[in-house]
Amino acid sequence: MRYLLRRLGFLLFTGWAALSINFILPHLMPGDPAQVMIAKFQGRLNPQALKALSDAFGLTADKSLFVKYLEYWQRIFSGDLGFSLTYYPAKVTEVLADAIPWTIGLVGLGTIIAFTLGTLLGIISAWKRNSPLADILVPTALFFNSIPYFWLSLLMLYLLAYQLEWFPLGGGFDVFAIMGIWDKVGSIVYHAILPLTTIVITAMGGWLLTMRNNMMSVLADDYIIFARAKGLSDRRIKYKYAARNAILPSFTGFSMALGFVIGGSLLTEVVFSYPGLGYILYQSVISLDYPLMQAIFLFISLAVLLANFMADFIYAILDPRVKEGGE
Amino acid sequence: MKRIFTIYVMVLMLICTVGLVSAEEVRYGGMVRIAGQWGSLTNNFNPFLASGQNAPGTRSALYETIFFVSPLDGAITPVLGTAYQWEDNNLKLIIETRQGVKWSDGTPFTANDVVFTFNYMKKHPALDLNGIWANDVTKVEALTDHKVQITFAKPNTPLFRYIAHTLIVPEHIWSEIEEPSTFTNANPVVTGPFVKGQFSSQAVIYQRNATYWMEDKPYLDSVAYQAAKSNDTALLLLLRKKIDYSHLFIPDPEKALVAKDPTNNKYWWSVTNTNILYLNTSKELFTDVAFRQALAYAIDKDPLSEKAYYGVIAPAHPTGIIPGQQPQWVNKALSGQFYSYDLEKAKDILSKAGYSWDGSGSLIDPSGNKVPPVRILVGAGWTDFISMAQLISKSVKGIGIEMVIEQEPWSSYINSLMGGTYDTAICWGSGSGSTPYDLYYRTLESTFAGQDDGIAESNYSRYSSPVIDAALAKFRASSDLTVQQEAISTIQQLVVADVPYIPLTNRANFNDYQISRIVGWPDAENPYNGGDPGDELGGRLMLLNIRLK
Repeated sequence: MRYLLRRLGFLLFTGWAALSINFILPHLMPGDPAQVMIAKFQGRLNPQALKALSDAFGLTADKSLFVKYLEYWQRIFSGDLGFSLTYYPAKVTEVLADAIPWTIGLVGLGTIIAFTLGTLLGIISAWKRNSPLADILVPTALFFNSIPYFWLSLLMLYLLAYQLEWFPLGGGFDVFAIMGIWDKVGSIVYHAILPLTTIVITAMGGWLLTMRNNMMSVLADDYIIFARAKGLSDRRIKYKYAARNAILPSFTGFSMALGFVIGGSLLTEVVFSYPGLGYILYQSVISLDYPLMQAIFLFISLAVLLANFMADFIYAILDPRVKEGGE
Repeated sequence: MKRIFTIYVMVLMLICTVGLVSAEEVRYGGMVRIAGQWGSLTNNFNPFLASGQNAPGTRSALYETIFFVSPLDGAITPVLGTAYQWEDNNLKLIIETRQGVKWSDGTPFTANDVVFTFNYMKKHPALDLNGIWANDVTKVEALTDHKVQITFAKPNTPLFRYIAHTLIVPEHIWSEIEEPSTFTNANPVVTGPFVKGQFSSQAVIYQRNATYWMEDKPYLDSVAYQAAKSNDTALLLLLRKKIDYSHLFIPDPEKALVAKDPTNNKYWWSVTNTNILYLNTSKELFTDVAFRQALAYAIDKDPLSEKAYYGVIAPAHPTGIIPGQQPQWVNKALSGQFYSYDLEKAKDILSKAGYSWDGSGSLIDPSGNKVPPVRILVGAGWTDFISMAQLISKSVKGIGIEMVIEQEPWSSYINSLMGGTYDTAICWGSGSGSTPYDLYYRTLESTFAGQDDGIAESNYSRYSSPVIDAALAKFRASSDLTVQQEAISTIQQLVVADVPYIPLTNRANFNDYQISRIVGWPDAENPYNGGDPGDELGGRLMLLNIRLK
């Protein structure tokens, strides 16, 4: 219990620090959102529009940084994250609500599949080391893990979608068709296959290698030899004894990765013109859209912190030793 | 004069109603699919917002302006207005509005809607992005239900284009909207050729307006705007014929687009602006006219067009005036002063002004110090500007000047330009319009040079000259072409002699399309919409004229 309380205290403190940095950082960026907006029009707007835009964005109100900071906390607790400047006058919450399902669907699912597949393959390749299968798995995993993601996804888009026309060239579903609900679900799945595959292949290698290495060192431990000597089944030794212990370090990485899902995947979204948070985050940064930027970073920080907290929690269940650790 | 304008407008009206599609049988129906790098669309059809904040199509398919003024040559197409004239020494603008037009909810459109729209912008200054009320307009009133009078405190005839390009909203809907700048207008009531259909953040589809005021148009049943997140996706979609049109820069379009299907793939890159090398005249080095002149002679512009734009977009005229406007506005009597690449001449100007060169060929200023390296600012990752900057720095080595390329991300790039912390910078003309006035007004008028608060809204060179300010005022006060030509002539003479900035290449709109399904696109032979992007005001004319093959 003490362990959990201490983790909770730590969570609150890091949460406060992360959110305060989240407030300060955007204000340190050079530039003025209204100027950015007006310059985007490349001379089609009258210069007087600068004032009009500043008025519309509420930038003319002269407030001290401290007052803004207090208002920021107030906004966080009231759940009103203000207006986005890039998508003005859409509310930040609306912009996010539209993109989050796509991101969680694609990047979240991709991360889970990659972790599960990678870990399973890692277990197998460690268990069957020196077999041809394991020998192929490791260099393959290394190759896909180190290949530039942008390049791989462009190549797959060009070959599978453009040349062979097996998959659509982009988007989350067929936007020009008028469809019933099931057709739409089918269309969404069809459009997700290619981007999902790229995420899974590139992310899987890392999990595979980590798991394989952990498995190898665990398999050399005395208690495994003891378990063998007891005559336990291979299956039981592999999963209950070895994998359960070997997965612990991977697990921390996995919870971090889940936290970062909220950030979306900019490259996937750009290459496949897929809806999601990554592109919105990028847009908000280049157009100095403070409210939107802060909201996305807020969710990323919260997701990472919560995922870490959950990991600590589950860790304590998987490995009871951590509860006593350091006391 | 005013009579001539009215006749001009009437003739154009005739051309527009009869001209474009005549003998051949026209096929109705079908959908045009347009993709653009909009990223993610917002369910917002508020026409007062800057484009990009509302969904694409708001300014082309849904709402209509009073007139459309071509950015190429200033040709005027009537829309909700049918004729206009200046009266009372250009202090009054009278606009006749179209009769028989209905809003998409059945309510008749009248001059009162026009008056309401303008007064609404006066009440809510945040909507007045074109600065109509900030520029001498004092009163907008309806004389009859199809005649509007706009009164000016002092003449400002170039403001006509901004007035003409105001999207008109229905009074009976908007008079009840209290907070228009945050109103998303999810169910737009419009006069335009299309009405809103289905929306998602990835695409918006518009359906034909059954009660549109042109009986025979539009030809299409629907228009779809699809949001792509990168130019690569848009290009692949176009090449695979999944879309019909995109406003998209393609490196080497002859090879990357046309060669893939020469019968169907086309592009029309219409020149509407100029890329300029701005010289920060508030910096000591650039206060010397001779130095600026020498730079102008030392930059070879042909390679810029060849390398940065694959020869598709030509080098700019030294006056900065775009090709479509040159016949009317360039003063040929000045052609002897128009500079071109000439290193000897550049060196000659420098040595006459007291500059010299040291043993290694570096430039030494008149007081004997080595001229420090000159920074040249471009946006980070903007390949066309970066390759121009490289060629320029190579070019000016010819007169012993060292140039350092400085890349900055978008927000700090524009901040450096407006804040005046740069040395030289490549950027587009901060103003462009139907006459060179727009370019000169925004790039040279002293009001925008940041003299008041340090922020140069559009006169990035921070150059001010009473002669230019007076010439701009003379242009504004007149609706007589000869007087206006004189004013422009005065300015262009100073632009080439005093070199406040150096025009580099033309700047174009990138219309790329394929004609396997849909024809009738604007092109160089028939530039009926000035080459405006398909989601901008001129896009409306495109949507009205394209049709199934």
